[in-house]
Amino acid sequence: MFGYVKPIMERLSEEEKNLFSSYYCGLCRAMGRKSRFTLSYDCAFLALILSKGEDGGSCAIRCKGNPFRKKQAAQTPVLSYCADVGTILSYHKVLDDIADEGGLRKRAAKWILKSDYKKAAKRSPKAAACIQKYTAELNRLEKERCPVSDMAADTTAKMMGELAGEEGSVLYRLFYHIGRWLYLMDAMEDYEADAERGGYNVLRLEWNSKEEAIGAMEFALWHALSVVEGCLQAIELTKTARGVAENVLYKAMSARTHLTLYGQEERKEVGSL
Amino acid sequence: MDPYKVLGVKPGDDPETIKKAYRELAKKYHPDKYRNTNQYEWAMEKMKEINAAYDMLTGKNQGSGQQGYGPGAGGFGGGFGGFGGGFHGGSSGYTGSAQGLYNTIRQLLSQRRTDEAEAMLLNIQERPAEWYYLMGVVYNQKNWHSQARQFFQTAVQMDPNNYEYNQAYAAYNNAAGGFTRRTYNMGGNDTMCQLCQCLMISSMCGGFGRFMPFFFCC
Repeated sequence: MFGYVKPIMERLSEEEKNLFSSYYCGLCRAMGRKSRFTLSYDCAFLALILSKGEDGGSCAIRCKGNPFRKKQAAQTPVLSYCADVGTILSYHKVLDDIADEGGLRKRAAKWILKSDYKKAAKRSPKAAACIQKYTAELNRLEKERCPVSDMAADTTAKMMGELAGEEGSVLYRLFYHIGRWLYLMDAMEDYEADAERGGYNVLRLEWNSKEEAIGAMEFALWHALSVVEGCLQAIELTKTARGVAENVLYKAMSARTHLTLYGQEERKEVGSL
Repeated sequence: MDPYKVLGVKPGDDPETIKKAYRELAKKYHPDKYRNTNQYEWAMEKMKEINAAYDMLTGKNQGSGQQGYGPGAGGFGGGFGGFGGGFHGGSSGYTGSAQGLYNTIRQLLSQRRTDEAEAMLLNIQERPAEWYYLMGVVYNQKNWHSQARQFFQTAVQMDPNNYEYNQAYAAYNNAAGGFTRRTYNMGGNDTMCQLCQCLMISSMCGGFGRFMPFFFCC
């Protein structure tokens, strides 16, 4: 589910690339040592938007992953929050995976992430409570085999919205619809795989055929992106950050939507999709 | 079946808490919200389960042979229209004029008092086009856009010349379609065009009259 909300790097300008990288590096820096491997672009994007794309006093650091690289890392207070969010989300994902499939690797991951998770939850208790609440709600809906895609997507959407802002705010609405898009994209992409695995897939339950599901998602996905578009236009962002956000929306998220709905071929030239 | 689990309450919770939990769930799974959709049966089953759980916890209807729709069913003027089941407890039902009710509901919606509007709608027996339209608005305010659009579509089908209902349905289609046009136009020589290779999507959108994403291949 995560990792879709990121820019197509090849299509960013030099400035935009540097800005986004500085947030990505800043996020990495803010994360606990043991949980860094769960670093995601989505949280970097969240941090960028919440900070309005401001520079935030970035400073040069040496990349811990590759000591020969010097990077500019942003340092806004928002980044610490987003690092916590990322850690907590990853921890819950691992818990889910253990419940679904088990396996030694997942249990090992849980053991590794646990201490960073506890620290993150302590620093950002609201985020931890929010993520726990909606993860539990989604699990409940899955057990009930809920066949209403709006209802299932609503859990992830509400979670993202609340993590980003107060209910009723533009930020909430923006990330609500990003969350909605993420959930439905995931469901559409896993339509076949979930059949084989016997896993829960709301679209399989809601519609009688893949064609019907695609038809329904064609509306739902593009509509969600149209709301994201409207919200982006309404929030404050630096010019460079806006460039990054537009890349994410019009190039990355749209291309992914198109691929899933209309054609399954993976095209290498699409870049980091 | 564990009635506590179904209603999301704990043993020892007072009757008011249980009633509140019941009402929240009844609103959420009310079958009329899923009329004309594939989920109607699912919602009906959920509602039966919730009613049964409530009856178990409130000691009603022990072995009367009915399916958990106890004596409280009369409380809302005979329960929900079409469903014929019981919605226990609460006020005396609506006897005022339908139009007065709908005006009140519209006012609630304009104040974004969505939950109250939804509760009122679910208590109305008749289901004219306006009911579907207003339910669509409720869904829209809750960001349940697929449901909202379906309800607007039903309202249009029931009253095809109604400007308001047509506008609502069109707004959804235009939003989605407009976005696809803008995003594909931006593509130019870009990722999108490389993906699509001048596909014409005309055959894709059987039911989608209003928005047909088509490509302008650079």
